[in-house]
Amino acid sequence: MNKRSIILAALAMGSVSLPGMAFAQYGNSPFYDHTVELSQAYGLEVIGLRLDLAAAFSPPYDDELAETIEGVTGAALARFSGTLEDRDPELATALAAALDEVAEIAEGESDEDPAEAIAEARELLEQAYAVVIPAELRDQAAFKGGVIINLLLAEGGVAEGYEEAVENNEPWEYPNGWAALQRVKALWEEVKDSASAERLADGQEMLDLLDTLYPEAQPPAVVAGLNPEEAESPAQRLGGIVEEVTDADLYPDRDLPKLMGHLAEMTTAACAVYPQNADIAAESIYAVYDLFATHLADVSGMFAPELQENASELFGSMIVAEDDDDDDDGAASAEDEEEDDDGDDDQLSGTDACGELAEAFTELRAVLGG
Amino acid sequence: MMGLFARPRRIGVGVGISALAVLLAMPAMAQDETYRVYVANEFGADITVIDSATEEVVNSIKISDRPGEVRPRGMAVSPDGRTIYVSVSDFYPQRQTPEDKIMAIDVESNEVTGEFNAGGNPERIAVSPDGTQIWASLEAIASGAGYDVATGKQFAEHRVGIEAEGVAVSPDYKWAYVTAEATHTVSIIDIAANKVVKHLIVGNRPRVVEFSLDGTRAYVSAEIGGTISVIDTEAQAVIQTIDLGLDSRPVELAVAPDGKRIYVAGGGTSAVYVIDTETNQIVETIREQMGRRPWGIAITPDGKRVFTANGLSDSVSVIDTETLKVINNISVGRGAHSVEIGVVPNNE
Repeated sequence: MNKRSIILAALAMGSVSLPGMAFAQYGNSPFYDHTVELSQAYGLEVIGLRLDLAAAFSPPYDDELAETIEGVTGAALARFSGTLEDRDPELATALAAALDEVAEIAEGESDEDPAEAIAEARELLEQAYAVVIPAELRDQAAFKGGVIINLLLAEGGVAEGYEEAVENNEPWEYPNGWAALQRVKALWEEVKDSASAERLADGQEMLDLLDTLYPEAQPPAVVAGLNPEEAESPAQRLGGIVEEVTDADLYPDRDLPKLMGHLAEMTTAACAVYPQNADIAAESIYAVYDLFATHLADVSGMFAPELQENASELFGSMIVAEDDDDDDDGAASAEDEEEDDDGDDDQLSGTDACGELAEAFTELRAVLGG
Repeated sequence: MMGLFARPRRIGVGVGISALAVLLAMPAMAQDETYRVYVANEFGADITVIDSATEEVVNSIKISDRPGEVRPRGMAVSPDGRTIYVSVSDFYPQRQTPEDKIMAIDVESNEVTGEFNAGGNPERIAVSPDGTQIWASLEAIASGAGYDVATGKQFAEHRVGIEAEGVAVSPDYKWAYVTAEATHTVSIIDIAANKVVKHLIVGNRPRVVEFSLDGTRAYVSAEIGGTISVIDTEAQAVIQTIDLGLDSRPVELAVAPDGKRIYVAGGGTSAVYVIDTETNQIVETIREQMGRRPWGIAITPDGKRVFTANGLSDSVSVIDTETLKVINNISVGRGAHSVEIGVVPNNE
């Protein structure tokens, strides 16, 4: 079945009669206006959370926790390392070295003082945050809202950390959610001043509910039998409150065709950057991947499974998803991909994969009614 | 699939009467009947029963001895109002367990009269117009399934969107609509042909679907979208999207018996939105005295009272549909999720 017939088949199933409309209510759309920056911030935050976990526990770490901490050098770093390298190469090198040190401590392969190594990495990470995310953006309430919603609902966040710990009986997912919640609470303190008294109370109530689920970093002795979705409801409700408080639409998938179109444009722009700086181009692809995987993959798979599968495979030629950290110490450098391409005819170059992905997204946009 | 009956009495006893008989009986029943309000308490694993006339709790029906592990969620009422059906599952929506079942409660006695297995984490259910069949959304396996009430046997199962949630059957019983949260879709099942004929994209995270009385429209709430999608059932297309506000977080909705209004439970704003079905405009937003996070909503067959199940305040709010004011709040069990109205004939 060719692509045109895939689209026609999808249209025949009625995908585009009149898709769900989104109504503007809030003044900001950070996931559209600052797509890449929010992905970069997510990477910076995830590394920060892993350093928090490294500090909250002492080596030798449990194997699962050690693996989490080792992730400071993985995909999270690749979300912003190209930009950091471009703007401050010395800092980029120093941060990478400091994070490597923390990872080695987690692996039990270093005799360095963990507290010192973590403190140094944290200090450099904060500097990197300032370099990668301009202060005027980082201080925006709407941008903070985007960071909060990611910490609440993204993989390894407050809701998912709890769910994965309980549902899959993986207790060391629990500290991930705990760490994310501590960060959410800190950010809530920064944005809550603009909340009405009612919303302030609502927000605090949700945080208190989440606190009862995450009383400490240590995983509960027994996680089986708990309700895996117990954190999701207050996290979702808090997300709605944060939307109102920060005047920001934090659910970019309220308009699916618009989001798909946005990702197609983002991807096309990234493709133009690949020949000059593959790592910076890959940062855009990470951002696109997040939004596609979280919001569009399921519905795309329903209406155009071949296109969806093709798109998902193309990501693998450009980036390493967070879930794939287990198989790789770091995100696939786009330059590495280019090098790999020289010796492997089956592996698409980042540039070629990017171009195909942009085309797939354009077709998916049509399937979804754009 | 074999039904797993807890008691010798079958779930369909007294229910499997013809659609014509039900329709003929309905006008007379409205003259001399009282109502009982059933509230599914997700975390308490029980059903609170309220007498609609006195607005007092008259019973609590245990669904499981393991609250926090087993939960009742969606409910539906038989066409004659005498039986309440409850979808029951555990808290693991990604898997099938023996807890997955549909239970029947006799309204007159408030006793559980039967149950059958409905594997796949049934979240919500709908009853056919003749009362002989039940359709369920099966969250764990992304399916919509039909069951024979009398035997408990599954006679149909169709793949729908991911995280199936709401389900409704059309008044002419030609169609079953199933919503899916993760794919933002409504799947349309042709019951006679036994196949899915269309998927429609609706608002973000669709929850509940209900048909208009004449079956020409279907209304779908979208929790994150903050909308109600209006589907033309003949064209099988979304023809309008009603904006309730992004913060509204609508879940259940109820169509008034005269078909002129829809009442929507807005969990995000702790409000009930009243929509005129002629114009599809919001004519009133009821906030004052409302309980917190209403998810469930139902209207009495005489159209005089609306009841909401309020999950954060563990209460039911009572709304007078003439004044559109909250006139009472009643404490119920933990985690009030859904609400349904049963009918008790006074002369029995």
